[in-house]
Amino acid sequence: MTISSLVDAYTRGDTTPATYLKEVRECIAANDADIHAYLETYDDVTAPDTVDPDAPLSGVPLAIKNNILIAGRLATAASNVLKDYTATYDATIITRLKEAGALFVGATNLDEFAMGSSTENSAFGPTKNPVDPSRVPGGSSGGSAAAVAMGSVPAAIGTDTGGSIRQPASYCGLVGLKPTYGALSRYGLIAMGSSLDQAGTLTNSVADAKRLFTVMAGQDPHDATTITPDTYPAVETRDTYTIGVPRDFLASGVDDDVRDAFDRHIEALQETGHTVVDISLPLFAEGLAAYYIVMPAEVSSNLARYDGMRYGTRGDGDDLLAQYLSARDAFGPEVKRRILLGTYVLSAGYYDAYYAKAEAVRTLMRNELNERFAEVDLIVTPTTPTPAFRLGEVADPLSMYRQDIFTVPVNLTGVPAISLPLLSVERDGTTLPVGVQYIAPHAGEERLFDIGVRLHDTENQ
Amino acid sequence: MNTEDVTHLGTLARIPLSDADTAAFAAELGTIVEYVSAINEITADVAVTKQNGPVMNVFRPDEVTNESGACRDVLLEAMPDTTPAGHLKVPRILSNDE
Repeated sequence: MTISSLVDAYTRGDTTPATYLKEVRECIAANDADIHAYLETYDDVTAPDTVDPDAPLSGVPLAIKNNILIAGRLATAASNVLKDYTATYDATIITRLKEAGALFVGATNLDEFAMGSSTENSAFGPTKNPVDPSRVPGGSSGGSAAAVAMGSVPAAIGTDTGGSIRQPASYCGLVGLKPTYGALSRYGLIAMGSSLDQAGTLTNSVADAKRLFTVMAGQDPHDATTITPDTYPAVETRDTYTIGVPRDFLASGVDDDVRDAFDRHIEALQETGHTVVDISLPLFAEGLAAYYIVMPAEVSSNLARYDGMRYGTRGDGDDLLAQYLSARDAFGPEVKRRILLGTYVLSAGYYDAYYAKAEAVRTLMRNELNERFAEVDLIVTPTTPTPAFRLGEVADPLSMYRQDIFTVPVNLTGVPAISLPLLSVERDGTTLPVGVQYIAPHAGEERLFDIGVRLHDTENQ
Repeated sequence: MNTEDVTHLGTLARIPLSDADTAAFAAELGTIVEYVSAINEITADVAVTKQNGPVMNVFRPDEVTNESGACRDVLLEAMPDTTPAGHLKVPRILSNDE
C-alpha cells in the first residue's frame, strides 16, 4: 500500500480512515510478535470521521522511530537510560505531520540511540526482517523499515546519521530518503551526531517520499541549521541525466552477486537514454575512517547529558559521582564503545591527529564531491555492499561498521541521497532485495524524486 | 590501546567498566583506532569542516515567544527527583566534613 493509493481510496470512498486504521492494528497484532517492529502501539489514537481534502496526509497512519519526540509519549531511543522518559514536546517534523493530518500508530524499534546497522543493539530486543525473519532488517531505523515491509503502515519516519534509513531500506526492499543536511529540522530528534543527523522517510514509492518530505521540510526557528530555498544553488530536473559511477570506490568489498546486479542496472540506465560515465572519488573510500572519528566524537559529547539528574532514571549511590556512574552503566555495549572512542579522539594529545584531521578530510571530501557534480548530475552506488545478513552473523564491530561504507560519505558531506529497491540477489533459495543509492548535489531532492519516479514508481504501477 | 588507557577513558567519560569490559574494549577499540588512523595518510592542508553546510547569522525579533512558566510543570514532571516547591533535587556536592 502506498500513501497515494490510500488517499485515492479515501477520496473514492472505497475505504475510510477508521476502517484502514483497524486493518493496521490487525496487521500489527498478527505479525509483530514475530517481527518486533514496534516498541509501543498507540491504541488511543482515533481516525477522523471525514477526510480533509486540503491536508496531504489526512487519515494516513504512520509509524515513528522512537528517537523522535511526540509529546506525552515514551521516547526511549531503545535505551534503558531513557526507558521511562516521556517526551515533553513535539519534534518540529511531528508538528508538521500532525498538521498535515497524519495518524501516529506506534513507535518503532531502533539500535540504541540509533547506533548500529542491524537493530540488534536495541535494549528491548532485535527486530526481524519481514522478507526473511532469520535476517536483520538493517539499522538503525530497522523497526521503521520492518513496520512498512510487513505491510502494517504505508510509510514510516526514521533518522539517518550514517545510513540508518538507506541501509534498512536496502535490506527490506523499500524506498529510503536521507534529505540534505538542514532540509528537515532536527528539533526534537534525540541527538547522536549533530553535524550528521537527518530525519527522513521509509516508503513503498518515491512519490510518497516526496509527499512526506514536502510536508516536513523547511526552515525552523528552533534549528538554526535548517536551510532556505536560497541556501544552495537550484538543482534542476532534466529529460536525461549524466550519471557518475565511482568505480574506484566500488572496487573492493562488494558482494559478487550485488556487483553483477548493479552492473545490469547500469546497463539498463544507458538503454533508457541516460549517459553513464566513470568518475573517481578517491577520498570517499576514506570516508568510513573519517566518519568513525567524527561521529563518536559527537556521540561522546551529546550523550554526556545522560547522567540521570534532569531526566531518565536516577542512578544509585551515596554521592554525585556514584550516581553518575550508576546511571550511565545502563548504556549498552555499542553506546559505551562509541562514547569511549569519542572520548579518545577528542582527548589532549590525540585531538589534532584524529578529530581535527577527520574534519579536514571532510572538507576535502566536500570539495571533491562539488568538483564531480560540475561534471555529472547524479552519482550512483549500491546502497549496501551485501544483502541483509542473518541475526548474530556480524559480531565484530568493525565488520558491522563496513556495512555503511557507501552511505556515510553522504552524511559527512551533507548531500541528499535516496535508496531505490531495484536490485535482488538469491541467498539459500530466498530472493533478497538490495538498494541502489542515487546521490544528488545539496538541495537536489527534486532531482532524486524525478529519477526515482522514473526508475521505480513507473515500473511498479 | 591497553587496559590502563581504557580505564582512563572510562573515568573521563563517567562509564563504569568491569575488568572483563576493560579487556574487551581495549582489544576492540585498538582495532578501530588502527583502522581510522588511515586518514593520517591523507595530506589535508585545508580548513576543517566545523559546520555541515553554509554558516550564516540567523536573526529573529527580540521578543519573548513563550509564556513564562508555561513548560514548568511538564518539565518538572519529567525529572527523576524534585521538591514540592518545584526544584530539581540533586545530591549534595559540598560537605562540612572535609
